[in-house]
Amino acid sequence: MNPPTTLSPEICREIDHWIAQYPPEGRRSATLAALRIVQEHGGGWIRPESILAIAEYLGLPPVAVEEVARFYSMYELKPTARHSVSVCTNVSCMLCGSGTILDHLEKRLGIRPGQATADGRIYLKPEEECLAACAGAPMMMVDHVYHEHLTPERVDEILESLE
Amino acid sequence: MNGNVTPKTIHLEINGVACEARPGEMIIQVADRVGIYIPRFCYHPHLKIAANCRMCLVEVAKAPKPLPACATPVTEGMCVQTRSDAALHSQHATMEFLLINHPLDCPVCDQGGECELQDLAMGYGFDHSRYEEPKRVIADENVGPLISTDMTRCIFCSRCVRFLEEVAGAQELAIVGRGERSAVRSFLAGEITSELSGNIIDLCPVGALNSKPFRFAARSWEMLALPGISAHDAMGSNLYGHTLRGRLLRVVPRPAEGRNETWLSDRDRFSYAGLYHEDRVVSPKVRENGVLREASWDEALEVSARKLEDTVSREGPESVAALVSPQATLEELYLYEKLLRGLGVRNIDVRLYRADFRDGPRGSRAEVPGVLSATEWESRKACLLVGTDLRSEYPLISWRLRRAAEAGARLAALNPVQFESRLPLSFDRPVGPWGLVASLAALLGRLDPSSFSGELAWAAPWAERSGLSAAELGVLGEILAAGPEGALVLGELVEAHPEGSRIRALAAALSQASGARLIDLPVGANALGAERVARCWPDRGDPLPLLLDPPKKLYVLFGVEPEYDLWDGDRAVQAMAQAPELLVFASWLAPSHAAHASVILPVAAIPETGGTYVDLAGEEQSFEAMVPPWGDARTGWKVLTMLGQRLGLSGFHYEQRVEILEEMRARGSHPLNGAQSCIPEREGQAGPQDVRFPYRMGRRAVYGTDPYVRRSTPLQQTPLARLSRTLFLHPDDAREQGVQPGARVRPAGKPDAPVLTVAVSNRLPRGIVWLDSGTESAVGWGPSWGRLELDFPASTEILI
Repeated sequence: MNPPTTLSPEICREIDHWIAQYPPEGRRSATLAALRIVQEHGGGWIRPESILAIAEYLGLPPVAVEEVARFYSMYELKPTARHSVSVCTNVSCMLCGSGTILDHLEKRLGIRPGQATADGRIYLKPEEECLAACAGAPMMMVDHVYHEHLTPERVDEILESLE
Repeated sequence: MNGNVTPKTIHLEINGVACEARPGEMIIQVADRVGIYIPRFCYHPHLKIAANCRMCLVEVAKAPKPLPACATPVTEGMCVQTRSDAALHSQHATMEFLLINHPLDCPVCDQGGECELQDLAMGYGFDHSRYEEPKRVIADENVGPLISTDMTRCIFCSRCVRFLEEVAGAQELAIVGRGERSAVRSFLAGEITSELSGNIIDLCPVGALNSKPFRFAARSWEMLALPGISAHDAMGSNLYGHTLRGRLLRVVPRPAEGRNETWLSDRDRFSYAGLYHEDRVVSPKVRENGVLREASWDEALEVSARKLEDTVSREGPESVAALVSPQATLEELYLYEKLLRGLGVRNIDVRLYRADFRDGPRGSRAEVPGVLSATEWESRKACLLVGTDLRSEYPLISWRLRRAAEAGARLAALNPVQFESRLPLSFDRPVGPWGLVASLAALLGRLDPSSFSGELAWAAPWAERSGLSAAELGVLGEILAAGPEGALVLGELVEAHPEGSRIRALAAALSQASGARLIDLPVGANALGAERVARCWPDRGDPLPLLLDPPKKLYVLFGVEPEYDLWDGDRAVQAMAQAPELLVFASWLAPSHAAHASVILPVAAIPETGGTYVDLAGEEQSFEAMVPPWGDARTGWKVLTMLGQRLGLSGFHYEQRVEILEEMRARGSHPLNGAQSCIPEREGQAGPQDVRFPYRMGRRAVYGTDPYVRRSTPLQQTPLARLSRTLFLHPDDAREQGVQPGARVRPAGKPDAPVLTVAVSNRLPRGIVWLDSGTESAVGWGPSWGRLELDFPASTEILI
């Protein structure tokens, strides 16, 4: 087989680290980690040819990797933006006013969930489920950082702090 | 609990009926056996259990909630109710959920009338829906030319996903997305590449996956289902043809345990689409002043008889050569030979794809060829595949071996190149063309060093240069160590190998030394039938190469397209162009027929013919015609009978087909004269040569095995067929030649030959140029195996 050309040696090294955590017949278990690593190195999203490359590297059918990539909402399969914003809209946050927060974000950024701003600065994730911070509802996650007890003003502050 | 003792028989009650079961069986299996029907969608007896449709929920005494019958193992004393109020309530509730998102488009759905969902909705559904919200819609994907998708109809039983992974050997579909947005999809919405893909159409319990070539052609209840036999390999798969008003509109599997079970290869399922191709010969034709014109049967038979008589009386019977397709029925093969023998003609050959004839009339095959029934393949403990791309050659044997491997069988492949076998192989390194001979010689040397004395003395230098490491020889040796429970399988690439006789001789010796069963896979659906006919007239004429060079005065072809079917099609067409007369029995018109035939007699295609095939286990299967012959074509055995009468030959008065076989059996079976012992005698090759670029090799294209499948447009549009029309080079050879993938290439000095697209693959050893035969893309490219001269007429031109 050809060595997959779209995985850099650095990415392969990182994936190897995860493969080593599982028994030899369990290479498949490294799929989640491999997808995350490729996304981190790929500007926040996973290209179709990278899915193929991961499949080849782990010895899996390509569709088995695609299946995982499309199941978890953490993986982006389309270009996003420099910053990713997820507003929890699950029960606790909804009862505490996440609707207002999402409305405010949409209005201020001029985009709908699933879209990115034209300047490539902010990407609004579609329909995020519970992020396990119900005590701080309503909440949102910006690039893996939690922001709780949100108000529209607080949201503005956070957005302004992003480059 | 009574410790470790597992009772051999479990007693349980289903709906008050006392049943016996084996430990580990599921409720649904026991219920099916005793004839109690439990509704189901995802459960299928030949697939692993998924338990995801929940339609088979039943009530089990003392269980707090309904249990899925497909995934609940039986226990001693279990009491199951499949029709109690609680069970029916669960089944009705499941049905209601399944129907929530299912469109009500049965009137325009091909599945209508043969739909499991429709049937079960009649039994378990409500006559109105309580669901008023918007329904979910899924965009359709194009998964190729064979399967149409209407994924909004999908109920997520995952039978298709499981079939491709478990039976076909490669997961090509998956349930992608989650929750309400789940959808069954192929990778990046690409085409399915499996050679067994059509089975997911049958498995789909709703109308999500349907046959694309059959789309909107007829309603299921209008058609007749008539039994038939597959015509493209000697598996003898049983099938049904669905016909409407004398036309064959669809082919589906006919369940045959111990043979094709409930599956059918795509080749057997979709070849029917070639039946009404524009190449069909619908009336007899004779050549007049250089032009083929339509003629009456009377005239065409008269002209044929006159040409045969004239040539035989003027030039002698040795000036006539006849080729016949191994797809012809036993009756046709017998009458064809009987007719020609009646004129004194002995030069009759069926081994169209054989390259090496040094070992005599039928190779070193034992008197009774080593054959295995379909189920015997599955019980092999070990199997060494030599020179075969099994997925393409025998798709269903490949599936049987996959199951054998699951049960612990060890498999290895000795192939010149590496195929995508979808089998777990302990050895799969490509050994190159001469490596096939050398590796077998080395294995024999390891098993029994004394065997290189006497007849096999030539093999010693080959053994020394096998290039196999001690470890690799060990792996291959272990396969043969299984003895009689193992098999040594020779495939179509041995047939096509210029040193095939050496391979056959070595394989015979290996089989004798190890006890492994030697299987010489028949090339052609009725190749073993042809062998039976040959044994009626043991005095065989010259082998095929001598029939072409020098050219004979008259050639007769029965179902043969020389440019596609023969190992060296170009040479055959040349010979026929030089011969004064060419008499053709054919269902389809090949370019060489159109160019050179003196007479063309249109014979019925296999679905229009009654006849008998001999399968790879040596078993005869007779079948009847499903549809009348197209146009003015006539059944082959009747045409031969009419011609025999016209020639004034005795014994050509048959009332019924069965008389032909009775006569054939009465003739007896005789050992063939002229069979060589296993000593090939060609000078000048004392061992493996180096392979120098460009050495062409190929197999018969998976959808180019015979005239019938060649005309099936949907099959010709599949990804597998596209690969058959591509020329593959090793990446290093391509680099050395300065050729990019996508470049165009043709054989040097043949400006008329088709220009092909180059692809690279490191599944080939260096020096090899891989191009399949049997398609119009390979015409003009010389013999299937041999040295080539390449010309890159526009190597800068890159196809995107």
